[in-house]
Amino acid sequence: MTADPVRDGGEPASPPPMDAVATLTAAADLQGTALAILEREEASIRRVIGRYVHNPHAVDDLYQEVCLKAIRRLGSVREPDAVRGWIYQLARNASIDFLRRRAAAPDRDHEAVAEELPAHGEHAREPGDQVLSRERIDAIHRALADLPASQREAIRLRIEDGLDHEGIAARLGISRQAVEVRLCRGRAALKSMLDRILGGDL
Amino acid sequence: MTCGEAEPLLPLVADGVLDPDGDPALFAHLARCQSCQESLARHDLVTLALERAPRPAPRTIRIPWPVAVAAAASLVLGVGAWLWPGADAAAAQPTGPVVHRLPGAEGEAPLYLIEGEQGGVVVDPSAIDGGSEAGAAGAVPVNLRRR
Ligand SMILES: [Zn+2]
Repeated sequence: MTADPVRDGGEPASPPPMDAVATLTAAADLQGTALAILEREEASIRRVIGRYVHNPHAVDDLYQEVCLKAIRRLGSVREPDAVRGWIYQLARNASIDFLRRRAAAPDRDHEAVAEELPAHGEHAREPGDQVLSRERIDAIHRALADLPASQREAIRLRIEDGLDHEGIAARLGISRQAVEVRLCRGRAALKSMLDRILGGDL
Repeated sequence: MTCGEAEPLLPLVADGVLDPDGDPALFAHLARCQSCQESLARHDLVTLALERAPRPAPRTIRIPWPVAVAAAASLVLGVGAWLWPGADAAAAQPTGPVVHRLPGAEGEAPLYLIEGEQGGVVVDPSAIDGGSEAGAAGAVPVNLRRR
């Protein structure tokens, strides 16, 4: 068995200059990768945002926001596939945050959020169609009320009370796994109901 | 990863417990798959909808016809004449819609019954929002056909 020269050297060696160069090169490659992906994937990033936000100006703003965040936070992502997944999540989160801000803005008509949401199904091209209209919000609340009590309770504790899965488990005296099963089943049922409302065609 | 493998995980993504660091393969799939993107967007819409309070359910009002007639007659037939100057409260066959004020439930505001040729609508003024369309939720059509 050969001795490990680093381990057996007795003292921590400073990184050889080549490593520093390699690190910088890797960082530059990573940045290049992300920039190249941003450039190449502009249409698909905008499409992701467009699944949540309808207003073209808001889509522009959110696309810019996603690009800036992607360029600033490159450190943790390693390979192109992962970069794509990570940029997808940035676009999704930025869109959801935008809708939450709109819903919370006190000086706006409370229906404004609904206007931002894209339409689906056969009436998708009709201007003014609202995916998350007041009626649909109410329908989703009614569907929640119709869920089995165990699922409904878990979803309320998660979404309305903001408890995490551990917190819900402690509150209900069940395992974390059981909480996740209830949340997943309940969410799947509510999403199916929304599919039916929206006509189901993707 | 296939769509079939991704789909059951989407509720957990919507729930915020799966992210690209936790499941890079799932997010690599999501970044490329239109169908799963749409599916996750709908899960997210459900979350956004549940984060917002529902409208208070309009009061379901069932008024047995004799009760409504008695209430309207004994209470404020004059309101009809006041709101509809053409309608003579004393006339046996009113020609236009007639508004009757009905007693609300215990501790609640009164309701108005607007009676027309074809039927009637019970209006809950507390549910009417500045005359906007949304306020129409406060109006509950009732069948006034007499037996
Ligand atoms: Zn898929």
